[in-house]
Amino acid sequence: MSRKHSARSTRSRYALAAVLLCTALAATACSSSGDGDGGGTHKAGGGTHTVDTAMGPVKVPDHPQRVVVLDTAELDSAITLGVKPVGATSAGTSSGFLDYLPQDELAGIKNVGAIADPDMEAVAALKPDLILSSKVRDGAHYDALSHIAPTVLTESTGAPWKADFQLHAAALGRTAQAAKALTAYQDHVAAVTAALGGAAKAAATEVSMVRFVEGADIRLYGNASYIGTVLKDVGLARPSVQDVEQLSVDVSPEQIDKADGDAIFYATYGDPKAAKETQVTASSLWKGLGAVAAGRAHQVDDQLWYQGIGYTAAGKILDELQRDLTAT
Amino acid sequence: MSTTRPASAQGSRFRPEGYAVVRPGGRGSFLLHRRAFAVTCVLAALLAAVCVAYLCVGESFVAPGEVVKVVFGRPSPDELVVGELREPRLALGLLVGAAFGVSGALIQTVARNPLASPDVIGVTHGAGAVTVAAMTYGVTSYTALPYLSVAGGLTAAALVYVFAWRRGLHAARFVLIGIGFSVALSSVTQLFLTKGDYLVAQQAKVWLTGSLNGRGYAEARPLALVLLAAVPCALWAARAQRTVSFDDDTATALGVRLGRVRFGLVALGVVLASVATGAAGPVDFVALLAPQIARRLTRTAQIPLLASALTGALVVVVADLLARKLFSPTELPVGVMTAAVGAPYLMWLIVRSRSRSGEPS
Amino acid sequence: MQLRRRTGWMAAATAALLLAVLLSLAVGSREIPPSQVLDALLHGGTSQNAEVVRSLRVPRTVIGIMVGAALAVAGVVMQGVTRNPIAEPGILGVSQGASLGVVCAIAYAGVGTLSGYVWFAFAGAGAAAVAVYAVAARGRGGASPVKLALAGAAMNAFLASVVSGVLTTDAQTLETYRFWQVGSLSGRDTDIIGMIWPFLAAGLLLVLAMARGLDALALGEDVAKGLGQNVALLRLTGALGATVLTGAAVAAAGPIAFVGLAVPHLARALVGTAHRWVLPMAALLGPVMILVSDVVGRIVFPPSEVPVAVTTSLIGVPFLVALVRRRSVVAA
Repeated sequence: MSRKHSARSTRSRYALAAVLLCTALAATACSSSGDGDGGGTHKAGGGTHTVDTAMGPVKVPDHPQRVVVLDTAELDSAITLGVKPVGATSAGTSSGFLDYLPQDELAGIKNVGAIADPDMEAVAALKPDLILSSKVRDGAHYDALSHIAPTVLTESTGAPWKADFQLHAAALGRTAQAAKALTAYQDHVAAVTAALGGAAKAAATEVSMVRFVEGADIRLYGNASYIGTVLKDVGLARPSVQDVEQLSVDVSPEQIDKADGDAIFYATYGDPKAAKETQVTASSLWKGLGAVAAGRAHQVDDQLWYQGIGYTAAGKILDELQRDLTAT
Repeated sequence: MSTTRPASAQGSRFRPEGYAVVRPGGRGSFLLHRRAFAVTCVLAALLAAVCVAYLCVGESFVAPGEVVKVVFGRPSPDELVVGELREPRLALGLLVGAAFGVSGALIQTVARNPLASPDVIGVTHGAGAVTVAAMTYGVTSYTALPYLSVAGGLTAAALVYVFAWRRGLHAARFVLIGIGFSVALSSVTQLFLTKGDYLVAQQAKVWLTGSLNGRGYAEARPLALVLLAAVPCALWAARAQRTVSFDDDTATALGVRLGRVRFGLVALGVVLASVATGAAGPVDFVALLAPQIARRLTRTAQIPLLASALTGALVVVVADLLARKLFSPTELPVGVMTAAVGAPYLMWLIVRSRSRSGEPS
Repeated sequence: MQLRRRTGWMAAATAALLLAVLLSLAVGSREIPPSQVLDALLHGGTSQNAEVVRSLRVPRTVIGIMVGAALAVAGVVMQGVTRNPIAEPGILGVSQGASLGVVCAIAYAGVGTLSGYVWFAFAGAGAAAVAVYAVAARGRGGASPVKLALAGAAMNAFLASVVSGVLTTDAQTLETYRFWQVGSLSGRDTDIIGMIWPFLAAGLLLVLAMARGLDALALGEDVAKGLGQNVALLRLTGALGATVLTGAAVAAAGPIAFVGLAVPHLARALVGTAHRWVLPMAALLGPVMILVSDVVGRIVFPPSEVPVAVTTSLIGVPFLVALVRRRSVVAA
């Protein structure tokens, strides 16, 4: 028992040594962190230009050759602008990349992990000269990413997709193509509005957006969402519940009647049973909705309508909108 | 415990078995537990070796020679991968492991129960719940989040402490109420995950798995500062640790104000665990494992603080090394690895427990 | 006197259950006047409100009653068999074992139907129960409350890490697992009711049959033996009954903690320790706790809902705290 006693001073020395160890670690931590200045260790051929990102101005190569995209919107932007990334993250429940993009343009892109949790070394191994993502996804990884290559982050994703796209285009040095994509989109929107019978008729059609989400309530998408902005561009009206400046209104199966409109577009994220899609769409409550009874409830691809965000997705969504809304 | 000697009776005349007398520079002397000293040296050497291995292994293998070059600042083609990606992650892993190790050592000493650990008494769950809640309500600043998780961990621990206090602090009651709070707090976390913006929810889920991926100095810095600030406390703790693990009668006879000392030790342990959780997410069971392993190695009566810190660092770094390579190319969060090893170890401890350690004494 | 008091409480519990059922049918994220609820139940009708009541709230309430009764009775049996006041399916990791069984069935065995994976739920619950008890009972001191709770916590953590570790490549299954991690009455298949009730009835009968044995066991193992009880058989039957009840409840609604803890203690406080009273009392009060928790979950964050497991654990923790603060638990 006396052994215990005499150990006292020993313990103090150990503690002291622990201090020294920590100090040493802290010192290395502080000194090394100053080294990297977010600068590109990989210089692409040609000059550089500066873009304003969510993390401040970043110098990027004029013509980046090896781009890594860490979210779906960035992937859509790159493909829209004719840039094939060398690496991309995979979306939640599916192991592949966005299914609506031309698969031949996706062939050979390396999977670098999950969205919001990319594998840094896999990204580094691709020796990228530009990384695209958003602060909401990879803000926590900015230090590591910016050591690998110039990293351009938008603030968020979703609703501000048009501004985000402009930043992507500026970073990729493809502003001319971006202007073309924008014009094409505007023309397409105008064509769809015309096909629907003009602005007045479009404004009289309430389009309801329903997304069944696994492990969460049913989401009715509002105006502050990607799909909400596309519908607004076309000039379509929204049911009053959904005509709000927020991403979505979440409802339980009891309130599925709030999803009614002149037309319903619904999609499912994850397993249809776990997302309650199977149960809800089989219920008489759903079948009693005006749009459902009129045969104007359309099941759509979740990746195209909700996950993928950008002009390529928008073009295809516009096609489907026109097809489904003019069908009857 | 009956043959209690006065605390001043140390020195060469009382040299217990297993100790050596050290006289640095002739002024005073202290006793060194030979085995503990040897074990600590071996742990440090092992840790150094594992660190080199950590820097070598990954998506691509880097030769140890190149690693050494990078570490000492010489130019090397592998500077990016080793110096900018693996080194920060390693530094964070070391600090997180050390913090959990010390935290566990302190709390286990006070609870006089090897089964008490910050994961069990609600600290990590409290930190998790507050962090997820903050993310849900729009706190996106990565510098603010660690402080919030510290606040959460402290609050949870304080609540458990208050509710477990009834004419004294009873270890068993403390643990039981801690488990109850942990379950409730993880429910609250789930609530915020399902109610929050789904972009935020996805981020929070990544954080909740306890991962070192893509993290580094930004997270390590506050942790390093707290560890530094904890040093004087740790010196005091090493001294106080002894008195606390006496039975109450002996300690009271020695004139130690047990309540206050215990409170201080637990508070220090909780702060360390919360800061570590804020930095890397809940890396489960390290605080449980490290002090136990360290104590078994040193065979000292007290839980050795430095050896616990080294063991904690070793556990986290090895676990992260395995987590990166085991299911390659998929990378596991380090928290999954430590839980997979730590939970069975906890069960083994329960199986092995004599009535004294498994039960309130 | 005693009998009168007990029957009085039973009547009160039945009334409480009726009230809870009415609440569950009448209150929800959608506002439906009580008169319409009654109307929908008695006369049918095809209005949207009537549809909601019949096709959503009635099945939900029935599942709630079944799950509540199963979990509460399982709690009584676990506490009786282990002679341990904090034994409970959620805390002991038995519920998590059952849900892991379900996930493995979906991931590895390709079983997607309820009638298929309910067996995996039983297997998972049984394995977890045996493992936790075996771990806690070893060593000197036997299965004390602390050791059981710690073994349960370790089991919960271990199961979670095994799932995320082994299934990490299978993103789809991981998503499904998250769904199974939080118990909820919402959006569950209505067919579940038809498939679960035989198991539930079997479990309840099994447990009711051993009421006398549980009484004897409460007096201590030696006394129970002296009274002519086969203690080993009693424990085995109890474990089987509790496993079937927990497995069925988890297959129906996912893991829900604290019902099995709070309700048995409440029941004992009302009708004493005789199990022929405690068991039916728990079977009445369990559904009350689940239904009230679920109703609270439906109205706190309108228009969306809070899963019932979240509400029960928030309601249940004060119970645990009060219980643990009573000296008898810790010193047991």
